[in-house]
Amino acid sequence: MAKRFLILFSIFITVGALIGPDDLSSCGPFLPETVFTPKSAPLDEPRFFRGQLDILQPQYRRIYLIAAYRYLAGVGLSLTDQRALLAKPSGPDFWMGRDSLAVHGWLQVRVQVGAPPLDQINTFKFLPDYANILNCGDDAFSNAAATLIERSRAGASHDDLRVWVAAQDQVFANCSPPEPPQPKQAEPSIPVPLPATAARWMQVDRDYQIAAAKFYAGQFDAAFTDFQRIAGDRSSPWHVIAPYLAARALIRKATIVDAAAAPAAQEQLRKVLADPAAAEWHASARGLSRFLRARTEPARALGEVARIVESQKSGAAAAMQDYRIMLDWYGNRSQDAPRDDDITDWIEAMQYTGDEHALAKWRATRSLPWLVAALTYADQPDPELMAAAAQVAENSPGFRTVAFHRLRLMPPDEARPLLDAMLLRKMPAPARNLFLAERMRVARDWDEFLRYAPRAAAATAYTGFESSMDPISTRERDFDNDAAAILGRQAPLATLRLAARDSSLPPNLQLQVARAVWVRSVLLNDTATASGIAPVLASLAPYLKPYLDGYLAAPDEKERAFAAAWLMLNNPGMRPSIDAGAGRLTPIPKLDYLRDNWWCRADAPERSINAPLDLLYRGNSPEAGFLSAAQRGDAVEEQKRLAAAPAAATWLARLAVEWVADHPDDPRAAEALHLAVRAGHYGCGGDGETDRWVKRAFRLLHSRYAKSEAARRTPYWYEVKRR
Amino acid sequence: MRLQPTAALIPLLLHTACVRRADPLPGLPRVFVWAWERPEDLRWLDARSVGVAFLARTVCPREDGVAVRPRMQPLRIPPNTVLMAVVRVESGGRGAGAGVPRTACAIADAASLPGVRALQVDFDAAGSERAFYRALLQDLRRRLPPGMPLSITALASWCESDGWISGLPVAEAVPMLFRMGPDHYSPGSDFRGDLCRSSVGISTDELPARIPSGRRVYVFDPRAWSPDHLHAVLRKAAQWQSDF
Repeated sequence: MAKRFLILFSIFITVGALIGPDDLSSCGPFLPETVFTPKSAPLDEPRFFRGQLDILQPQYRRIYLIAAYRYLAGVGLSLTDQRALLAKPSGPDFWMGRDSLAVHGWLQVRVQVGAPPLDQINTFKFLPDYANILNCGDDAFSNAAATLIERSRAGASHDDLRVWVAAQDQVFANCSPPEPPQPKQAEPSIPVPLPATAARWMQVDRDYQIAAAKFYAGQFDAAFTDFQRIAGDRSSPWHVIAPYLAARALIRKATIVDAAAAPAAQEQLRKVLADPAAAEWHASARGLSRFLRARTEPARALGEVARIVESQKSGAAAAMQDYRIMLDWYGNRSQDAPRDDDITDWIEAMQYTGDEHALAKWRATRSLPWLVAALTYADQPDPELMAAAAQVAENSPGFRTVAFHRLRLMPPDEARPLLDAMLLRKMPAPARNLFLAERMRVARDWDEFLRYAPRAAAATAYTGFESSMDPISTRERDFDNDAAAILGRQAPLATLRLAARDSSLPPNLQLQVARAVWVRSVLLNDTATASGIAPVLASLAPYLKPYLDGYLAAPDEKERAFAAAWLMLNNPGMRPSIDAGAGRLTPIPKLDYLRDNWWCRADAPERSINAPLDLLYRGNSPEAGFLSAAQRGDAVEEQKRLAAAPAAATWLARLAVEWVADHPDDPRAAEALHLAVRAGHYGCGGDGETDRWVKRAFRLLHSRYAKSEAARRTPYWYEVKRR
Repeated sequence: MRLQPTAALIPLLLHTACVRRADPLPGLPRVFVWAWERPEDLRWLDARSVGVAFLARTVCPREDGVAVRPRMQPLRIPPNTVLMAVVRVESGGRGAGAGVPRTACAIADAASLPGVRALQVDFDAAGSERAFYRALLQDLRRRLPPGMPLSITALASWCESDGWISGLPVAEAVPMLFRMGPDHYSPGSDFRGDLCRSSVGISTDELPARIPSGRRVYVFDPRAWSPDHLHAVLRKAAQWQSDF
């Protein structure tokens, strides 16, 4: 029978592992964003945990800052600790109604002795402060199943096993009493002691079950007493673990009933740790001791674990996770963690308040962690700090961070050759992108700007979910916020059109620029520029060529204007802006069903700078200092005129209606009106005139071309939301 | 510590409420703070004028059943606080598979928690889940005590161009004016449909310049709540009322 139990148990465990829940999420739509340099986590975690810190981001999550501190302070991470951190141990599954593997295993094993089947066991207990606790953990169910199998293997009778299971069911009945206010408060479910005539193994197991039931029922003092008694009974197989469980009874009491029980709980844990026979429980007892102190004396516990994290060379991964959780405890309460320890002070300085404090600490310690913190927050090139930065060796884990900030703080003429040399080195894309940005910031002319503007897309993340990045393996290059801001707002058409032909830019970026130049010059009635860029645009996007040929062949302004509108009506990805990242996800000729079509506003809005780039720009906007005053003046004037341009839907519908009114026999007429109505529906909002023109397009389509295919495809027009 | 300025600002909200349509949550405070899944010590609240809408559980309907994640973090409140249990529904777009009764049952359980006077469902139902959500709310309404108000949060688009929530068996739909993604809210503009015209949901870090007057205000704080955070919101709320 025991063998059958073991086989069944193994099957259930295996099947359970295979049918585990997959990821759950809702909300949306979440749109993918291009990540050039991640702000909250390194892209290559194993590399980071090996000590290749690259350019350290102050917004990295704490576990990465903890690891970074250890490398910068010369402690490092052992291979075992690296693996432990990468394994990201998950906590218990806090979902009710989705039995854990252990619960599932217990439910299956118990029916093998004839116990009535149970659907599930709720393991959570509701507390008066509206929190729930996981009252019965997986270990309890695994232990119950394993013990039942063991007793069966030892030859226990079927009847005895059923009695055993019935008592164990009583134990687990205490896991989740009904939540108040229920009509009747559930009584604790405590098995009765067995008579002296019962088999000895059943008596000692029953004593253990009684103690466990009291524990889950919240009778902590009684459970403590019972476990102590079991500890003294050398004939009980539970006498070794009993002192540890007695400690857990006091810990549970201290954390959910009365914090005054904490000293007694710590004393009991000390006894467990002093007992060589309980070595199996020592690691857990140490963790529980830390957990208890974190709950009852958080500042002291933080200090204790901080000192382990600061100095323990190996076997520190668990302490690092505990330390992170303790820091989170303060963060969740919007409280400052006590900064008595160097690592805590450093992490708080990196995350929140670097400035003068970091510099003062560096002066006091001359340590690499504080050099990094002081440089990260420095806005002026303090000579002493700069000299120390220059001394950091290339093989130091802080080298790239220090170099990045040192070059940021240097006069541009001194920084340029050093940056050029830095860019000759091999390094991962996230670090290279920041050095490219740094070099672009000190560009002396348009050519230099274009050379350093494209960046390699390192990863894709969904808006607000940078924690789950998908690395990009292709060599796609795009603009980051800084280049897009300068190209979008500061460069006039005359300068931009040069970029569209510049071989420094990959074809996808040339196309973006050419598209923006053409659309802008059409909106600004700059026919010469629009005609000049048209062949470039056609060569980059051949599908636009027929439309652009029509535009170039137009004999007069009116026909040219309609030809431009006809191109845009058929190509919803045409827009005057230059995007950061991958930009619009849908190809230019296709309609985007999330309404990312044409433009929301024709001028370029102020663009916020992402956090890694803000390390360079310090809250300011990127500036192309090499552009002349005249060029800047032209750009400002163009932006003003673009800002006054109508909404895309208005502009397109008006041109379509006016053209069709004058050219009713144009074979494109009905389709143009249909597309104008579609632009109202799927465009990025409208203005005060949009509804009027869209409605006119709709009516003209149905009055003049009622039997056309275009009219059939246009059963409605839609009021447009004003932007 | 009691937050005195709170009490002074509440009458403004009450006054404007009186001149609008009947309050769909009669007798409940005009301001609710949302207490999400983090430890919240709100013992400083003035329970006479501010209620607490706390995340009580997250319900996950799936094809193989309904999983429930209970609240794991403590919530400390002053005596006599008006509580609204909020149940977040996470469907992963597969809500319809779990079946309405089991999902409704898992949600309704939250209404029996101590001190709970109203229930709010927070479900960003996808287009394909709307029929499921409607049926779910109808079932849920039947399971709740007749006098217990049922509230839902609403994407702003549900209250603007999209009329699908019309006729739902709920007392109110709270348009969420924060973390709106590509949508935006024009300060002061109003929503379509009566369900959306009695309350708004805002966040302390994205306070709109104006909201329509007379609304019950639900406030989210991305950090742990503090008296200062709430007082800043109430000052702003008083301004909104006087703007109209």
